[in-house]
Amino acid sequence: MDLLLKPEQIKQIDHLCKKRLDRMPVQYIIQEWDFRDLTLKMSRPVFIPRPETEMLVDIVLNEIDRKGADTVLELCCGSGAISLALLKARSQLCITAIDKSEKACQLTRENAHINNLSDRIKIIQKEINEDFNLREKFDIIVSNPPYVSSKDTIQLQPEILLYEDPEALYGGDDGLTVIKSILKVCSCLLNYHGRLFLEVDPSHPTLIKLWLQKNDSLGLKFIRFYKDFCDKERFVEIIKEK
Amino acid sequence: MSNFNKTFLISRNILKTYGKYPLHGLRVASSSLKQYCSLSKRTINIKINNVPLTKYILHLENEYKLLKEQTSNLQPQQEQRLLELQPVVDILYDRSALVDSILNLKDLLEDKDSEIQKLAEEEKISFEEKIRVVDEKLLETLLPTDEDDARNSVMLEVNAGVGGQEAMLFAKELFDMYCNFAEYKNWDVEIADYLTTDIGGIRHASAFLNGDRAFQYLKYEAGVHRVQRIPSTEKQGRIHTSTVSVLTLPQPTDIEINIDKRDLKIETKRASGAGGQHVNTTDSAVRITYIPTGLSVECQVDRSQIKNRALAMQKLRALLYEEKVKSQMHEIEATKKKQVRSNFRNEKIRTYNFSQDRITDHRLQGSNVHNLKVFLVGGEPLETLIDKLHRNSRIENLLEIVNQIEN
Repeated sequence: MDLLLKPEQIKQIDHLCKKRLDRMPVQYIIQEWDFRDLTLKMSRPVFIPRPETEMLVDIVLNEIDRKGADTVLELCCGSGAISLALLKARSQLCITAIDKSEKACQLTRENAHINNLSDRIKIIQKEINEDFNLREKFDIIVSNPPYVSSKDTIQLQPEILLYEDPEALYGGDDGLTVIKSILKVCSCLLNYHGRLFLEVDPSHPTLIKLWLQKNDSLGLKFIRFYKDFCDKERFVEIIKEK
Repeated sequence: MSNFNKTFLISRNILKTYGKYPLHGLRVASSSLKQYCSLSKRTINIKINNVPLTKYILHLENEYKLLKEQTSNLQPQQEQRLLELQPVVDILYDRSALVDSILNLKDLLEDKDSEIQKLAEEEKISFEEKIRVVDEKLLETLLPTDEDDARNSVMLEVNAGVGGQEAMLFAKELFDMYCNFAEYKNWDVEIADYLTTDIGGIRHASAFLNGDRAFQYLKYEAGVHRVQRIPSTEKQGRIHTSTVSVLTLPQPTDIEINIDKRDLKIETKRASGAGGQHVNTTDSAVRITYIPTGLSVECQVDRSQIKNRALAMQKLRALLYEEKVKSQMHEIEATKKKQVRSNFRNEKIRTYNFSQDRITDHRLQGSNVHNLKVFLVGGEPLETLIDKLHRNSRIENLLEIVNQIEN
């Protein structure tokens, strides 16, 4: 049977197409996207999760199983993708998710609600700076912090430049500004032998390793990097040793 | 001592001592194996069915030595080969130690004290006995095995051939013999097809037999069996000759699909460019190529890339499974064709002569079995005959390999 579109439907499609012609990301237009086995609400300008990050979840799940951990801390949670995927995969888990953006915290809350995971996630709006502190310490911390360097910004697609929150993308001249802040706070937030998992730019693992050697007072040691599905050095694992 | 040195020493010891202590155990089925040792201590001269094994053993040792030298970067097949050769080398090492022990007795054997001489003599006899045992082991290790031997599941088919009712009667006796044999071996029997004629024979019957290495035993039963006797239907007391053909086919086994990550090429639309936070695309298509066979699958049904990847892997696994099933079926089909062809050519494998109460297996020479009645019960006598056939076939295979190496 043929389906005839009603005039208002045609109007709506026109409207959506116009948005796309304005280079709005599809995820913002249809206001949702999938991350692993979750369907998450997407709302401008909160960062849209990338497929690489789906692998980061696997890496962290591995560590959770190895340790038998039941708490995890996520920094820069954005739409909540990582935390919620972890919660969905392991029913014993409780997560504290932190982001400095109010909109990000709000979206994480909504997504937790949509996926029935609200009771195991604590969402805190907080900026990661010198004053940052939590009462708790953790065995596992995960983060996909902004890591795009200044020189890379001009090459970004208009979809990203025009619509996504720059605060969720840019990491200063070398892309390491937020990563360094995270390393500093994690020095206090990690238990002895606790581990930090970060998604980074492929140029970063070497730089992070050197920086940690120079700043050995933090007591953090670079353990290894993991490659993503494009064979790029995308994730790093760091351990608290002192 | 490193393994390499060990091997090297073994080779030298073997060269030194084989001449004096030939491989005793290599005696096969009523001395079809003849041994010669030349006077020169450096020459080994052992023969199996008149074919020398010397070169073959040296060849294996050499192969082992070469593989050992490059242990660190071996292909999986080479690693497998090394594992296969290890027992041979181990046994040769044991053997050379025994030979050394005998050589060490030399002074005592020539001692003036007759008591000591006698003790040394006894010692020597015990060492020689041990060498005989080791040589048996060596032969067992050298004889090749057939991959199909490990198959536990077999389809057995018995068809009456030339000879009408009499052939059908004998077909039933053979089929019962195999079912009893399966019971004797503690296998599971599942009769698939069994129709008796008016006087109690069968035109055709089949069964699935399942048990430890069932195919290794039953494969030698495939072929034309000939019976010579006065049939119960015969009124004038004449001897008839009838035939029954037997087919034994291994059944496909559970297939395990192990995929090595290194054999996979995973492609996505994100392959070029920076990736990560630098790119936003909704294209989550994934293509996985299985490098060894070039088989490739694609998946783009899901919005999550990791889910597309999991689905693609599932597809790939299913396809590889199908490929493997097909190749197994192909092999089995080939076995069947071979068996059917030889049945068609009427290649008799065995004759059951009732008037002389004698069973002759035409693949073995000079080893008739008597007491037909007991044989047809399908117990120990049948197993003994099959064991002989098995050994014979392995020797033939070994000779084929030796032949290939010599040429």
